[in-house]
Amino acid sequence: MNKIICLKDINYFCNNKLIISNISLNIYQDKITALRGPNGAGKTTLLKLMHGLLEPSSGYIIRNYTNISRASMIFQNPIFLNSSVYSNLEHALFCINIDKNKRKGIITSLLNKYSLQYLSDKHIRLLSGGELQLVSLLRSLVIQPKIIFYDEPTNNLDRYNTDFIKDIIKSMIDEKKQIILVSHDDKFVSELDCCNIYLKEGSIEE
Amino acid sequence: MDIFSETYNIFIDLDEKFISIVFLSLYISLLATISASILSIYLSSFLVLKNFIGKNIILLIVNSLMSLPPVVVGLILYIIFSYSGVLGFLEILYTPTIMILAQIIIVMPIIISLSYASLLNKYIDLSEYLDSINTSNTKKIYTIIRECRFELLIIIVTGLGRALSEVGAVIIVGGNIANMTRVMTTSIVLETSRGELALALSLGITLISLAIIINLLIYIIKNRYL
Repeated sequence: MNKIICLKDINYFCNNKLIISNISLNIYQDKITALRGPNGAGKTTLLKLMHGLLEPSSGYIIRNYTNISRASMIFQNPIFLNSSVYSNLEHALFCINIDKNKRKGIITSLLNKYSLQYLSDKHIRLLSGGELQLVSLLRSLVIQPKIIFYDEPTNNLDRYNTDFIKDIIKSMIDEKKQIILVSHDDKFVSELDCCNIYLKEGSIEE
Repeated sequence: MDIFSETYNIFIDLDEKFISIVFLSLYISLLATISASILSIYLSSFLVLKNFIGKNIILLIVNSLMSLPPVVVGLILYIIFSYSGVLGFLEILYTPTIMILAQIIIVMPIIISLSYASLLNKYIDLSEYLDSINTSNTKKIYTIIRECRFELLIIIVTGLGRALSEVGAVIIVGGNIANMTRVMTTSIVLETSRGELALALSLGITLISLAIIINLLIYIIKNRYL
């Protein structure tokens, strides 16, 4: 299997505190990778390091996809623009230089695909926690990424929305998208065929 | 006729002298505020996005300049642009141009300081997301300005209020010349000293009315959009 991300001897300090300690691992293509572990284990930090949002204090990361495809990140507590769902999705396309006349088509087909057209004109302020998680996922998908870094997909979700997001993730796998997720929802992760990496106190648990 | 009847007549007859002073004031202050806003918001965005040595010193200076005495600005500009000054050859002393320049200098620190705080808060919120999709700095600036547009509008209106009520600098560099550089605040000073209290009072009422309108605008924006 092809390695898409390779981490070697990664350490990460924040305010002189060691958050990630000497981690070396490979992420392989065509397999969901789940970073698991208790709160404060360093899962989100490791995910951000993999994405490139954070730079390691020492060690190096090789990303074998940056020249050929796009990556997106879905945050545990996403922040949106103070406007409609449509505007938020359009803004994501604006940020990656998609022509204005192509944006509407891309957004409409994405919303149709998951039967979420009803969200389009709703203002972000009026959405429930579950709907916000969905919009966060849509905002990530609208830029058509090949690799998705997903932090706590089931955070604050009820059973219905958890199943809905699980179905979307499964359809993403069918489309050959690479997913690296952070979760401590054991049931959710066990229902996906994941390669599990367990973290404890900033290190990989053997 | 008492002062109040004369003041009333100035408003009813739309006295030509009164109208020309009000329009010149609005022209100078609006142009100064628009120019200062464009420059200040651009500079604030740059300060938000870029980290460099001396940034905190620049912010400290800008914050200190918020309380810059307008008469000092007027004095410095007078020295620079007087006929014997370094830039005297430009011959803009006692013209509306230098009055606009003076107001820009007075208003800019206020707009930079307030817009920096507003843009920085928004950038802190959105930076991780914007970085995650690897967007350009220009688009980051566009995004945070767009997200802060109502706060920025309030800041600009605050700057306009400061420009309209300013007297110390414009009286020094403008010279208070009738039909040329005489604005509301400088007219009030002059007409009061000459005993023409009706015109001074009508200009005063106009200034207060403008202040109320500006505050009403801020109130509406705050309640409707923030």
